[in-house]
Amino acid sequence: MALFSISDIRIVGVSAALPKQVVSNRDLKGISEQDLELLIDTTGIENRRIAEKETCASDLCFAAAEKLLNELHWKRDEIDVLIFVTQTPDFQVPGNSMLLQEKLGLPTTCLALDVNQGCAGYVYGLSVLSAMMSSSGLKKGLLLVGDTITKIIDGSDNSTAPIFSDAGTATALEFDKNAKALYYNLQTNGAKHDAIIVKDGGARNQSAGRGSLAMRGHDIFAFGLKEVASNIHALLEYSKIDPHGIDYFVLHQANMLLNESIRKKLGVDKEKVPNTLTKYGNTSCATIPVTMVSEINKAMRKNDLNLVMSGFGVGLSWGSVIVNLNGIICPELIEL
Amino acid sequence: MNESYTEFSALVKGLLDPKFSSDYERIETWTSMQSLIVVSSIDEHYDLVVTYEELHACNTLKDLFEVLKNKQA
Repeated sequence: MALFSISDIRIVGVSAALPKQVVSNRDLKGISEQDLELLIDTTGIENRRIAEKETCASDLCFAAAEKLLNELHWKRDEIDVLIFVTQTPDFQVPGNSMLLQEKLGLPTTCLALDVNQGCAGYVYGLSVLSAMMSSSGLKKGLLLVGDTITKIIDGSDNSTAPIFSDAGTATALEFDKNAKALYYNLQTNGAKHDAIIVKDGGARNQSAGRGSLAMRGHDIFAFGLKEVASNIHALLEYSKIDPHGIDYFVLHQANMLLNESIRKKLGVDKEKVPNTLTKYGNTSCATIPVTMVSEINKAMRKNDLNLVMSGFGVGLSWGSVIVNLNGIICPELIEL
Repeated sequence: MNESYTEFSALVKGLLDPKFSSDYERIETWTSMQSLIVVSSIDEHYDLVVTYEELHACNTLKDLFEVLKNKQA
């Protein structure tokens, strides 16, 4: 069971970058006005952000990282480890982490690693980086999490096109003996791997050409109803942290109906569950840090906060983490 | 399930705007969004998650009611 705690690691900064281009779901074609209204009401998604053709996840994460590193006043040669979580890398080979090690001016003594993860990617990436730093004593680490997922969406597919957006984020971690523990609960169900899948274009179906993302919405919805709240409940019980002491529950921004169902199962007030679905849609692995930067920026900069973050989706993978933030660096949302 | 079919039917009828569904008791008339709304409400009221296969094996709301009773049993 992947229910565990990591000590001596502190999150010291979070930043996020979104493409400037706003696309409204109200302009969707091939759908009746009534169905469109119901779609917007149910998903909660009104506007989405779409990257320009030449902009990749690495560019959005680079902008987020540059801003964050400058505000943290970190020296680039002090960064020991860089992890990049994405499903839309610039190239098949090599991974984005290597590209960003060079582009950000990090030293060749820096460990760089890519993680292929979707909607649970922020929590998974955080777990990999924090565990690596905690066990090794590496002092400074950077987690870049982002996707330009709209590049693998078929614009005529009304089960995916109205949902997804692009974003890139950066999170800075530091080794600190006084940091409060991070608690994780990570889970997987590969039996449902085809519920969200890009079947073509990989080594298995290479000859079929470039693939598009296909999603069985009902299966994902049922999975979210069944698994997410129970995962969080188990995590809270394991951590022995009083649920009333959690300031915010930052959920992956999947769709409003599902997130509302999860919130009710958790028995928490709406004010504790920030939402960015309406204005930014589902930015894949980046939704959690995007929501943090967009909605609780001021609180994260000034206050001592306990957060539960929970990601769920592609894999199927899902996981939650409890973190303590104590006056972190959090630049305003960047538009690129 | 302690509730009768009449109560279950009233719950579903209240969820589905008649302008979208001409006959709410015929599941094939539901859109995918309406299905999610019903599935979410069933989970909230009965603590039962209805899968895609279970829903689409049903023709009528009465069939779905029987599925739920069996799941709970």
